[in-house]
Amino acid sequence: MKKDKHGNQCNKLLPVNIFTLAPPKFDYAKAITYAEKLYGSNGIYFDIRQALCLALTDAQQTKLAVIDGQCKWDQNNAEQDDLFALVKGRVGTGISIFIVGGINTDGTNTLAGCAGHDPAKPAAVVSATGTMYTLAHELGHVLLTSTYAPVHETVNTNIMINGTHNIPAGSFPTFNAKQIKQIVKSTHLKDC
Amino acid sequence: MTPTKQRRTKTERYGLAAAFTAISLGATLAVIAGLPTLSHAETTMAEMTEEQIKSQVAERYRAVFQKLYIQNPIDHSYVPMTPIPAKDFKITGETETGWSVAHDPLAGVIVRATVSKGTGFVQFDAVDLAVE
Repeated sequence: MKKDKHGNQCNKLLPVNIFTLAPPKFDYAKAITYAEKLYGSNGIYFDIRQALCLALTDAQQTKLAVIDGQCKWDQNNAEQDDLFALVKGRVGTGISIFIVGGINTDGTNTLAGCAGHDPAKPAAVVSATGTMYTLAHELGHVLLTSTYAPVHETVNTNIMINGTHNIPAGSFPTFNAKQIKQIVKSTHLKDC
Repeated sequence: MTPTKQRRTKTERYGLAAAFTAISLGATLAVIAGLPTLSHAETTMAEMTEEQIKSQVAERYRAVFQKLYIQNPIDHSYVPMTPIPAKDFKITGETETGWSVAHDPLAGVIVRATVSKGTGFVQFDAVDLAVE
């Protein structure tokens, strides 16, 4: 039986592609290790297919410094489409994660991450100003899907709390049993 | 000569007592008639449709919060609590006494409320901002 580097058994694979447009202000290595352990402890192998830093033109850097637009279920906004255009041909199987300089909705609301995406293009956007928990949180939204409620939890021991800045540093928030039951049904998970 | 209070006759005293009793009884009945009884509550509020419940919460949210701002925990700016259409609320649970109603988007204002089946009153349990 396949195991991940932390010794967790693989029941399902979670393929992810990570594209970095801006240097994260959170500890990237810790964010990846945490995501591996969180999903791994539930039998889900966090499988990074590729992790690329993207070189942008000046115009792209200006335009995509902050991702603007709506953050809603089951739809991409125009700038999320621009992100996919950047990696056209590079996205294979799996969920794409874009680490960007910032995210702003409605011109007023700053976000740490957004999991709204076109159903045909599973993706999440993570702000460089997010926390080491944001990446795993956004992936949680993608896997739980829009049909799952509650979208956000109220306790900071759960990774799906409405703001991961509320999670104490060094702690290990988890999913609850109901969330795991839903996550393992995700069509984004593959066989080991 | 010391003035003395003129005493009422027995007939007058009985008449006053009867009038007082009648007025009190009438007032009490009027108050009782104005109160929503349990059966009244059960047959009106408890039979609210899903649309009515969601409208009730949207309306109260608009009345209480629409002119307020909420602090964004990331950049600490204050953002307006924009109106939430009734259709965007979801009924998430039901007990003997009320319905749980929520607006829980990926990003934006989270509202969790309870609507009483007895009175129709809306209690806001949580109002917060989802930033991821």
